[in-house]
Amino acid sequence: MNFEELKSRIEEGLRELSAEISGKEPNVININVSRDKIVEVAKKLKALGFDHVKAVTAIDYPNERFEVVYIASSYSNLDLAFFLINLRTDLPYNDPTTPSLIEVWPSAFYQEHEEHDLMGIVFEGHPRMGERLLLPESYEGLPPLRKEFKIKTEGINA
Amino acid sequence: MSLEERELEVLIGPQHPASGHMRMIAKIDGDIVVELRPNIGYVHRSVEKLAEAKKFLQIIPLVERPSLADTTANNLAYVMALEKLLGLEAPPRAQYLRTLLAEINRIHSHLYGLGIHGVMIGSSTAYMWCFGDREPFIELAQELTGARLSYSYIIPGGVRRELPSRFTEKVEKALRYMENRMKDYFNLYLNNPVTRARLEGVGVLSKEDAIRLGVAGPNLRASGVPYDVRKVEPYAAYPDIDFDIITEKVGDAFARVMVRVKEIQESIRIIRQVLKKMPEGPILHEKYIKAISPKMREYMKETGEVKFPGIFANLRIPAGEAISRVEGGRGEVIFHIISDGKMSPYRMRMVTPSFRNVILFEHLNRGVRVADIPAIYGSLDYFPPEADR
Repeated sequence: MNFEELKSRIEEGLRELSAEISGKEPNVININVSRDKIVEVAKKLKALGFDHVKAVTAIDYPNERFEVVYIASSYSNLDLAFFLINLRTDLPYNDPTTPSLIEVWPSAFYQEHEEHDLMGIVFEGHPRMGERLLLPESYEGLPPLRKEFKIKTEGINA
Repeated sequence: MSLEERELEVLIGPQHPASGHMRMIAKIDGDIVVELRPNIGYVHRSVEKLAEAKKFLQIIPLVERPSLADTTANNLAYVMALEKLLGLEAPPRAQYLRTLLAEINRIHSHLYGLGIHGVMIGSSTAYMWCFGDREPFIELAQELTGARLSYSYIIPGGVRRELPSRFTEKVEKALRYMENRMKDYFNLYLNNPVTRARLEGVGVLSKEDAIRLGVAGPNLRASGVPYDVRKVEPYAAYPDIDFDIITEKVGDAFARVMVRVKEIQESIRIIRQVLKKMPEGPILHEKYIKAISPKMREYMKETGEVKFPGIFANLRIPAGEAISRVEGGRGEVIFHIISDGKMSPYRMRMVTPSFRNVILFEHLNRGVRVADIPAIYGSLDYFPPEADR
């Protein structure tokens, strides 16, 4: 399958979900959706053959928005394995909450947990929200991946 | 007595239960594991956050540290993401040298995994042999790069060093040694009834579950999924190389071991082709060679060592977003870099195969015997620092 074919197939599949679709050759397809549509869009993508998530990236744009990106691809259909679907959603800065996609993609389980732990995104429906993953259980304070969290430098010039 | 009252919570770790610090919280009923929860983060070093405060070149050793036995994969994937944003590709000879190091690394990374697994199920000989036999490959990598494990060999636009003199001969010697040695591995370890009893039918991962859980690397291929980034999105010199994707059908602990064993044999095949087909030419992109002073270029010619051009010190990466993936020894490494055109990434997401595979601790240990925990753990070639990053 080539890039354009796949792109139009996705556009067709997501027609009624007001998703914004753009491509980046040779193999990245960006799909922007609002958080209230993300579960439905993920289900459609899974039905198209995108069966697992390789990465979940949360990005902090201070006082503006958070962006969550799911990088999905396929293991069961090797024609699709070349392509990386970036399913993206913007979250308001004062309410970084989005529905969890683990029911659709269990492969996102630990990655969502990590972005919760380190970036403070809340994935509604994920059973481990409020629990730590990489940080110590006693950790209090800003999520360290937030831009507001500054790294203390060491050394003679610090 | 109710079931609840019969269950006992056992903490395994975090004092280094096997290949690094992690803790497993097991609920057991007699000898049966009812539920096991991995508790990770003991060796978290916040690579993603530190990257935002370091310059692009300084991040190379940083991304290598978490996966100390398999550093080339991280080094390569990171640099490939930068090159996508820079819009340049390394020259062909550098691509071959990258492939050479990647495959040498795959062999010693697999030997590391096999050795640790060996000692976890009680075969200290397998451990000693695998760790001893890593040595010729670590020596080769050292001669090529100057370092035993953390190579930082791959840089934007190329590699740091030329092939050392008489390297092909030395490589051939190591490859032949390993090929012969494999027979001993089968006789003592892989065909040993004790090994078979401990691993066959243990920790079975079905193809459907491997796909559903997004498992990576040999653990995925051992369940019958022929996914290998070197074939799916070929990079470096892999488009020119003839090799097979190793898969197994059963998906048990033994299948995962066998994928690694056969991949060592496949890597041997790749290395021979790489050395035979390696083209002549520069090992650094001409844009950067031009930025080096004539005197230093002369030095490079004499010694075969790249002198970094001045622009590397404050390398700026054009604004944009790039995703790169590499098939490392333990599986697929993903970098997702968002640059705003400054000297450090705005956001760098690094997903390692061990982190992708941590979900298997929960999935595979349900209903097994307590003694199966190390047999399953070791078969995953899971490396806590790599998962925690």
